[in-house]
Amino acid sequence: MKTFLLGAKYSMIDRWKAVRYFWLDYSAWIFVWPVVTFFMWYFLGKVVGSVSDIQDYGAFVITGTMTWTFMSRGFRKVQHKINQEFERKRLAYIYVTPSSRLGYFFGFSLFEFLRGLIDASILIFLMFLFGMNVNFNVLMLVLMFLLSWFSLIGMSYIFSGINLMLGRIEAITEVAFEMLRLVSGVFYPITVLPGFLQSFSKLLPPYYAVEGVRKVMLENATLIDVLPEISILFIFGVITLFLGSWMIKKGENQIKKEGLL
Amino acid sequence: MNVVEVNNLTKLYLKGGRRNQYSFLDTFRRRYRNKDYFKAVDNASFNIKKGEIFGLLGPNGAGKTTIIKMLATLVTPDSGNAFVYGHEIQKEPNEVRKKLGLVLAQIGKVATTVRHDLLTYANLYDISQKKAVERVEELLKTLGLLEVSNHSTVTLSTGYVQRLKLAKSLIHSPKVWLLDEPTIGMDPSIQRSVWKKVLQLKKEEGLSVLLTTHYMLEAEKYCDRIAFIYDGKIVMVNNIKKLKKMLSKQHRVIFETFRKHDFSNFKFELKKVGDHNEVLVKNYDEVNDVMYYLKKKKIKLARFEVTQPSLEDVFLYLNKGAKI
Repeated sequence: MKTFLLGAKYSMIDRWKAVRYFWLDYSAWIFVWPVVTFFMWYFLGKVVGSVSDIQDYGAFVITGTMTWTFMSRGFRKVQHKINQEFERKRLAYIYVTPSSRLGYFFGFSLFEFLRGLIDASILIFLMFLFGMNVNFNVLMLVLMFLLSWFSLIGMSYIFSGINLMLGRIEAITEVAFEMLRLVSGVFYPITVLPGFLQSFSKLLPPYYAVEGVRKVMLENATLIDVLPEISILFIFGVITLFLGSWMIKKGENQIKKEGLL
Repeated sequence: MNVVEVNNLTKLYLKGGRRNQYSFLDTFRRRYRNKDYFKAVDNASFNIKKGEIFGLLGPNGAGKTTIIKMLATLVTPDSGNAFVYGHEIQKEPNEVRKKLGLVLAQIGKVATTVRHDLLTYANLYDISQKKAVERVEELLKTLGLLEVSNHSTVTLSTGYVQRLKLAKSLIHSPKVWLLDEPTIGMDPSIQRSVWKKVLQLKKEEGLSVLLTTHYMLEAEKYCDRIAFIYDGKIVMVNNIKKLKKMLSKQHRVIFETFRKHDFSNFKFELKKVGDHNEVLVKNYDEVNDVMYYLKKKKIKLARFEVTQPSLEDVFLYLNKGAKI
């Protein structure tokens, strides 16, 4: 546990210092991205809302996009970081210390989650400012965001483990992740999809994450209301986290065996 | 007291490893179809005493870095074992890591300032913030990094990057320092200050050092003992004096001529080094033979000297695959 915390602490401080160092670039990302996203969907929502059954399409799609961002931070960023550190030959300097590598990756991911909360806060502030119909319990919303992020960390570890073992599969996982967006209900309810795709989307966590966040934000759902979504996301997260940690370990053993560090 | 013990370490690598491949399918195919391995390290055995500077010399690809990486727990050995302060590298890797400081040839830069990079890195070891700040300031000073402490690590020159790596490896006050070509790219004055620090740590804290280098003079000047590694095998471990004694029966005759001459019928093997010629002879009678030849041919000399063989001669002699 101590080594896990050492690794997590290091990566969080490392990320924080990188943000401070590149503050101009990061502030552009942190502040510009949510503002642009908001206005893009706000105006599009006005057009689509006038011809669709969804009353407030803008709020519908913004909540979906926000949830997707948290999942992306859990899945994509961690995987990208592990691969980047490996390619840049920085992993050797981490591996030679008595800290946990899983802790290191987890800390990085947690930092990304916290950064995601800033994005979400800006988006929610703009939603209130422009009179969108949102009404929610803050703690419930943070819990849903946390689970959206957590549900995909394990998946990220699984793919990172495969990447360490075989190398250069990042492009394939990127494509697969983007394809998930099509069936997760971010931009439209999954009821518009063909039957088999609807069944497929219900097998994966993004659908439950998007549904859960929408229920909390747009319908002011309570813990009991979203218990099925919470349970599925949590169970999926825990199982994949264990599997992913094992895969990372296997990947590490492989790169140590091949002398790639 | 032996602080590092290496017993019959062997490492096999798949020929045409993963580094040159472009897709995971290629990796997959090679791993399961190609079973052609080569021995990067072949039954290496040696030990390092407390407070000793131990040099590992050999040509490129001889297996020096692989040995260092195995000791640093970054590469898994295929057979054999090694102990650092009594801890086996495979069974107690975290205990081994606490004792080691590692400097590799690879860079691994982080985009931040030098001071922040060091302070952040200290978090990977169980060091209190106060102690880390003190240690960082001390290292910045002794390794000549103070003037660039607020510069970005990305913009540093090779020499400074190398010093930053040295500082990082010393942040937790290790007991054994593994240095893979540590002074590469440094100017002579910085090299001297780095070695001053090494010698100081050796004297004050009993720091043991395992060093790989291509600078023969550096190895000759600072190493207590040296191991020569060739094709993964350690061909000899000895102290400098004994190594040089091996070739002490030989003398090196160096001479430089004013004009170009034809030495085709010269009975000794002549080596052209820069502006001068070198001949290895067994005794002073043969030195006389060289002198007699030059006189007979009326060759005018700009320089003529007879020296003892250097460590470089030992290195080249062993690299020829000569049996000792």
